[in-house]
Amino acid sequence: MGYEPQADFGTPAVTSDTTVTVSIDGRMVSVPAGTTVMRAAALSGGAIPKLCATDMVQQFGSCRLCLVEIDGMRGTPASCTTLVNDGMVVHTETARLQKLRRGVMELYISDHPLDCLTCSANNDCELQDMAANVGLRDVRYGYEGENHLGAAPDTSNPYFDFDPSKCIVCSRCVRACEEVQGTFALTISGRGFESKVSAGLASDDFLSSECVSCGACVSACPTATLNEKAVVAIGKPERSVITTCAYCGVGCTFRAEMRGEQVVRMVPWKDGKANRGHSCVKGRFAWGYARHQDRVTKPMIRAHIQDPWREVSWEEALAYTASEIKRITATHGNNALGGIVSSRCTNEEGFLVQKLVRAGFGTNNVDTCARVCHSPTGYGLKNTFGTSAGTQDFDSVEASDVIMVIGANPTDGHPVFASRMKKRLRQGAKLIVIDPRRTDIVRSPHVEADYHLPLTPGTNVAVLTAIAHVIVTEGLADEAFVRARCDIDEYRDWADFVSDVRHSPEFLAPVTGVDAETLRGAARLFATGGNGAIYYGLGVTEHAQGSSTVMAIANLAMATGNVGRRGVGVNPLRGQNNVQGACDMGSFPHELSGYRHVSDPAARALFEAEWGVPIDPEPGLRIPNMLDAATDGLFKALYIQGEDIVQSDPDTRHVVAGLSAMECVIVQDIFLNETANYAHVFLPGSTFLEKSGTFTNAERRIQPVRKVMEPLNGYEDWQVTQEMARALGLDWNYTHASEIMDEVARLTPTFAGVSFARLDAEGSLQWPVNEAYPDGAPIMHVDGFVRGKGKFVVTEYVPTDERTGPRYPLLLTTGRILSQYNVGAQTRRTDNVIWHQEDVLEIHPSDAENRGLRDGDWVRLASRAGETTLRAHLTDRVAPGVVYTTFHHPTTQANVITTDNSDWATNCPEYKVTAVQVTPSNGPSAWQEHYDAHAGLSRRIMAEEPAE
Amino acid sequence: MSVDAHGLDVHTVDTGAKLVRMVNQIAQHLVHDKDPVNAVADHVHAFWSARMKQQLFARGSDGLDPIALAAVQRLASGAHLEPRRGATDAEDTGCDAG
Repeated sequence: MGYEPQADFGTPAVTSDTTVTVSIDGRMVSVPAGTTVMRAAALSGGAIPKLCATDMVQQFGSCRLCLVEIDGMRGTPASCTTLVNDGMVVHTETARLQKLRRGVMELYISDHPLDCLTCSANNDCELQDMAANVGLRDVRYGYEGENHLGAAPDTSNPYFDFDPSKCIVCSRCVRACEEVQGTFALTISGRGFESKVSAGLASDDFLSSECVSCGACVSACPTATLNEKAVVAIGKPERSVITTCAYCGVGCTFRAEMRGEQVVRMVPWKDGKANRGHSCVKGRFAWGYARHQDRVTKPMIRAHIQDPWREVSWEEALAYTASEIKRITATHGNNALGGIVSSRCTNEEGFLVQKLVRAGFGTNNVDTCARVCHSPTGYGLKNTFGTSAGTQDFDSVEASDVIMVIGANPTDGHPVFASRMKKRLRQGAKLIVIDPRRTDIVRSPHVEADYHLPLTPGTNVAVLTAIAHVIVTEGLADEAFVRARCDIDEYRDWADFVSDVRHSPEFLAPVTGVDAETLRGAARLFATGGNGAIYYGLGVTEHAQGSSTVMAIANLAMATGNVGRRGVGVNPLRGQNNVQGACDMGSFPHELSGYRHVSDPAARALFEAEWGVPIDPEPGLRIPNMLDAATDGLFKALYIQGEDIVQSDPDTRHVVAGLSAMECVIVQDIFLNETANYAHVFLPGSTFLEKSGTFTNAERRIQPVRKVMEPLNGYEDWQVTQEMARALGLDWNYTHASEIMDEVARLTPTFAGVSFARLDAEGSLQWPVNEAYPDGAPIMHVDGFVRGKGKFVVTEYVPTDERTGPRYPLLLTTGRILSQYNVGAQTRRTDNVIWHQEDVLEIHPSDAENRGLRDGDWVRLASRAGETTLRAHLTDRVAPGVVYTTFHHPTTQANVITTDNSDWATNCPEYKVTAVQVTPSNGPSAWQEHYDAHAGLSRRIMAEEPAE
Repeated sequence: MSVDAHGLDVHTVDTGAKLVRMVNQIAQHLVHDKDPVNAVADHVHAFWSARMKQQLFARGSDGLDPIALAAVQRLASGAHLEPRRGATDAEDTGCDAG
């Protein structure tokens, strides 16, 4: 595909039940009532010249270039602000209009550099196009008058430049920042000739301003004023490929705009149904890791983890791996082996890893990192609704009246969806936030939570039960919905339970730390405020009561009738790009793809017939259980694709002990990650830009991942797994990832109608896609719950075992920030480090004062599991008694602190509650010193022997 | 006491004790089920590997809460538990990540 800019219809699409037909330069076009003349013209195939208009934002009517003549209407109205009427006759190219437009362009060009040939936007500039469009040949005013041509550029942002000398002050960037991103970082300062785009205060540049580098302003800019540095350095793209972002669970789709094998820029795809043309700093800009010098592209092996690595051929690496797997199987049995596949990998990769483990290793010991994030979502929503996935599509938020955010920080973790949520909030929807921290969504420009319940970490169930108490005892439940859709006896049991006075907000306030009257207000609002939607994140799931909290959320949604239509629902915000897909693909040790339990003989028979091997009817080991078995000497070999469990999983010392006890750890990754320090085989992986496949986002939306450049290691990841299978004697012969999806579709009822061909044709599909739902299901449980009757589950609040005391008097909770992603393996290798160079410990000023700590001091953070050191940041975003940090940097190793406590149902770790002590420190902990020493030894790569 | 790759004392884990803690946790959370003993047994049957179950049985009754103990005894006696049935037809979209 050659390079073409994305179509821009000038003003946003509107919806209407009424269609009107107009004539534009003699072309008849029918459009929804409320459409602008400009958009109608573009849809009819005859775009009207424009500069200040773009369909990203609402019409503005400032540039006066889009003037038209309309029969029966006086003057020359702006087509961007004039709505069509039925029977309207529009003329867009008359002599009068041409003269007017040429005059407008003359004024613009009189204060614009005439350096088109050397400009980074040459041939990709709307101003240049418009000058050509109106036939501008001369500027009568000359260029000598007062102008802005000497204005200094702002190059502070690592990804894009702002060159005010080229700015036409169309305000598209300002409006994009406001309307699309919702940050309000940009404004027009000054008036008249002094007007200029300004980021933040007069003393600010882009980097120091509130700008979050989402790139919306850069996409909106019609000139080279805001332009990607990569475009400046590389030049205009020559082709583009639509693909899906590999960061969070929003699943933004992008146009990878390329020159040869080089990515020039990633531009959010306007037709993407998850992101609707928007992006965040990670997906838009932080893709440079793909060609980072740390990429390892040759396979390596070694006998012991203290040895240096030895680069070998693929053949030798695979033969060694297969021989080790066979040796360990013969010596210790099939159940001494296992595999872990990351939720960052594609569906096809996940499916193949679990197939390799089940059919090649002969065990169900396979798990995915969804274990440590959203496994409680699966358990909780399966029990209550019958399906683990979120109930809505992202578009649904546009119809929400009350939005409840629990244990999620969407502006940092899921920023593109957060922008859509904030847009709805600016339109008047109400907001309830349940979070120990005052996250940005609690208060940001033009958004303020109606209720913020700053609960004590670990008390989610108590808070949700108290909310339910208010709803039931004050007669606010939607009993008609419950009677029609849910098991009424179970509802009554639940209603009796929550009505008990011991679940009242007043009784529970000392436990939850939440003011009773505030909680009552929030409960009343949610029950009576119209369409109520609940969005939640890892602050719900990563607790000892994670599964109970998910079920308490489901109870609340059912009790208030907020399931089964647009604007409502229960929406888990998935952490990684393919958490949903990894779960769908059978990556759990007790389930085959499509959530069929391994003990189900009918399900096993399907797979056994397709694969030609028997499948163990007993569940396998989950990740924590594998590590326990390893320290017990019973688990000896682990194949890990794309996951860095040493950094991401809790209780690092236990993870390291488990890995160190194994005889063969095989790591497949793009970098020598922390886990590779304990590996015996390293198989180089490929980035999302280098392979084909699919990701499934938090909406159950299956989207294509397309190879935009050749893999640096020579193989896509699924091909490496296939080669390993072949080395073990399995006769696998996939020639393309699409054939893996074909097998998934054959074996998985919910994917029966999915194929690469359909995804190419339709862009994306939301499962289930089968005979019952041939086009997928944007919203689930519309006519009834998947399980039949919705199930109310009594969720007793059980305090976590992790409690504060004299030795560890503070509670640590962990999370992430906007610019870094998960363990940071990707984002730390981009310019995103400019915003976050290290993990810091947020601590309330009063707790800091009690310990003699100042902002920026090094502190020792200790729990019963271990200790580390990092810098303190004093802030009242956290309540007294609570401290917070991120886990993006291996030098910090925040998970040395977290414990082996886990969710009762799923073993999802309790990352969010750890009792800790914070004290002044003047150096790294003993663990950090020893870890660094081992990492230094373990990362050595043996020098190649000189040629004879 | 043994040392790990870093020369630090290995914090040894008593996996059996951990399994007891886990099954007690399950029992604590399924106490409101109509048949909590069966619910606990079914949960362990569905989500624990055979070796984990055997390790738990080998621990005896020490430290088990009454519901957990009854569930463990039921499992150890080889009581028949129905296989978990899932989405084997196109109508069923059930899923589960336990």
